[in-house]
Amino acid sequence: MVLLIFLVIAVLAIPSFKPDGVAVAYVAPDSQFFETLQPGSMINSINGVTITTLDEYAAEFSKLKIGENVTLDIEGIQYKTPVEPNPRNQEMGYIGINVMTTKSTKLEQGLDLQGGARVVLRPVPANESAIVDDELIDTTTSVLMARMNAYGLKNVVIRKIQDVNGLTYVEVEMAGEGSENVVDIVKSVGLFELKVLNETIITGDSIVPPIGEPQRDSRSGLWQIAFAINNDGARTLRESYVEMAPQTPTVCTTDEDCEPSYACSRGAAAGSCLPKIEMFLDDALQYSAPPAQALFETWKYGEESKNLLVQTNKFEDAQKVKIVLEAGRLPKDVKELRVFSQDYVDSKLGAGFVRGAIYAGLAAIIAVFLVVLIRYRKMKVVLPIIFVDVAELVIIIGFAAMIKWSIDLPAIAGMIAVLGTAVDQQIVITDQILSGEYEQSYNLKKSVKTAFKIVIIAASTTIAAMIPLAYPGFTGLYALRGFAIVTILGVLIGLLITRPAFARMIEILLGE
Amino acid sequence: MGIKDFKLTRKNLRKLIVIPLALLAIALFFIGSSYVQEGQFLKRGIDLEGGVQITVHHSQKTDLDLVKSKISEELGTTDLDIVTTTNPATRQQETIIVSVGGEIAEEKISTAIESALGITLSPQTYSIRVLGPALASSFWNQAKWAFMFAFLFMAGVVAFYFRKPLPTVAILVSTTYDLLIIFGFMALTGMHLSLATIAAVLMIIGYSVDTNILLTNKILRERDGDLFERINRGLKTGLTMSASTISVLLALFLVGGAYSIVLRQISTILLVGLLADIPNTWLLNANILTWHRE
Repeated sequence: MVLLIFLVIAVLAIPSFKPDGVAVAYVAPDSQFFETLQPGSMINSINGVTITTLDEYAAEFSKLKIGENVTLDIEGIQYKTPVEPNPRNQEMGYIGINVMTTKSTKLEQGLDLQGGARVVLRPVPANESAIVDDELIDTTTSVLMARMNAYGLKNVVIRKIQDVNGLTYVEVEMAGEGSENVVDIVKSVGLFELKVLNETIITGDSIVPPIGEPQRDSRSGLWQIAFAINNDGARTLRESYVEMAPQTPTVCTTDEDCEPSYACSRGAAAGSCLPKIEMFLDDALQYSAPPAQALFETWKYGEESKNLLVQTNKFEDAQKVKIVLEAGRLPKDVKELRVFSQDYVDSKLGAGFVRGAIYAGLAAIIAVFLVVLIRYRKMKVVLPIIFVDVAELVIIIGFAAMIKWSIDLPAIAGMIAVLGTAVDQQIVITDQILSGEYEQSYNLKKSVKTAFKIVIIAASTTIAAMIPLAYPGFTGLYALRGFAIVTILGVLIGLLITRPAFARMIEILLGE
Repeated sequence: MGIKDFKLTRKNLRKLIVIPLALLAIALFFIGSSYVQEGQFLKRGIDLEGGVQITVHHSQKTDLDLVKSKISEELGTTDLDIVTTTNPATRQQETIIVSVGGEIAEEKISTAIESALGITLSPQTYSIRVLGPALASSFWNQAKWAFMFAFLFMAGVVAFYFRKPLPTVAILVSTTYDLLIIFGFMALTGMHLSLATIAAVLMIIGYSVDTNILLTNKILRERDGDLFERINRGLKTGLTMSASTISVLLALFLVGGAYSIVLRQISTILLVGLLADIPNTWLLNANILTWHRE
């Protein structure tokens, strides 16, 4: 009867009491909804069409026309707003919210099933012989964390892992959001340099967050990121630039009129050849242009500028610049982040796995049913076995939901394997009780006790074999930890809960 | 099955020991020839050696051999493996998985795949897994340690329960037998060692012991009735146990394995191990124990 209690708890633990559907995940700062919508609000419909899946949302969304009004029903309240052009793609509409699916279950799905990206890296010190100590790893980790937050990712896990040689690595796992861009953001060292005529004038230290959101300049089509630098930086920039610029700049009309490293800065009258201001991120040139003539004049007169602008061609580049500048660069001693392993699972593959797992589970239960039926032929025996097995699976899943354990593929394999052991043990118990017919001095209790001895030993050997996999020191086997833990859990639940319950049931049903 | 009326007797048990021994010989042969051919007992997959694995959503039927040779030519390597997964319900091919060992850059591999299959890879159509060799060899080390510990712990539990040397040794011999058959099978089919197969092997270490413990109990611990009567009753129980687990694994293999390589690998290894366990327990181990008893 203990079994029933656990069963009920497990059954209640799984559902999250939220309907399956689409909810707001993130509201962009430039969206009309910035102050009004909260992440987690359920989106019920767009323009009157009910939305329950991401596909439906995407389908309706793609029908939106720029300039037209769209009506969203969110948590019962209607919102009407014009559709703006999407910064990423002028053809598409934009309302500034990211969405996510809500599941009706509280089960956390691992990377395998949800899709996402996982990168394992290690900082490489600028000084080759320097030791990468814990402090360096920790600082690196916090910078990466800041970047992920700036990106708006909710489901990011950053872990320190160690291998048997004692080397520490940083593992960044982003479930549900996988894209090569994000991996790039993670790998970036974040070194920002502003150079004029190949001399570094200011670096990222001078930057004062926050960094502006990328804005599209309609004339040039380029993406602009505005940011501010501090007083020292502004002063250095002005002084150095004025010093390096020629007293009387060459007159020009196009860039070709100027020497290399100079470009034509147009003004009200003729243009002047001024040195290019070049901004580098991780040694990659992001922006190169002379200051506007008018701006240069103000510098000559002693005024400093605290506002700078970087321009890039693609939105992804602009986004990366913004995030990396905002979260700061990695510790100075780090030359680069070397990637040791990289996984990228797209969500379609993940969904395929989920389907496969569910079907396999069902097939497994049917298989057990058939085998047990053929052997015992009595429903009195077969039904309890099946019932208890299904109950055991439910309890394991419920447990996983309660402790928020991420379910991944090996874990699913583990569950099905546990089903196998469970049936094994139930057969041992059943046969032991049935064999009472053969023995002269039949003692039901004794039979059950013997059966249990065998069951306990079988369970212990399985647990013993699985323990090495669960050992945290074996970081490379982290992927299998789910398998090991599910198996150990399943075996324990079987041993302590379902097997005794089953024995009681069989005793009652057969032992009269 | 016709085996319903089959009973083990003192006479036929002795003769039937040929079966497990023959299987063992075959397994050892394949392991040995793999060593001679490849220089190692078993091939390691990219989980443990490093490399790149790209899974492409591709439902058109493709000539895998042709694709394999095209990609192999373009990349200049033969350390290349291609498998597919199918949806068992619709029987349609779902993905093609290309695994390339070594340190070839992902971009080169994706380009090779694109030209061999005549497609372009865009974010929602493929998944990629890259593992550097340094990390991979550290994983391989850990896998070996895990394997050793699992075996030791299991041996410890068995020794603690039986307290006598013979049954313990017999069970350890039994488990080793199962493992050798599995390795032989892997050598024969060219299956790679991967994290999934390691997990399955460890599982077998824990699993295979179940039937052996049942047998040992029947022979050494129980007293009522004739020895062979007890053994045969144990046989019935044991076969049902094996049958049920094997059918569960078959279900996992046929259904789950179609969707995912991980499930396929785990279920194959467990299946082979459990199938080998039957002659192992009831013909080999039984012989050892009954011989000891006499």
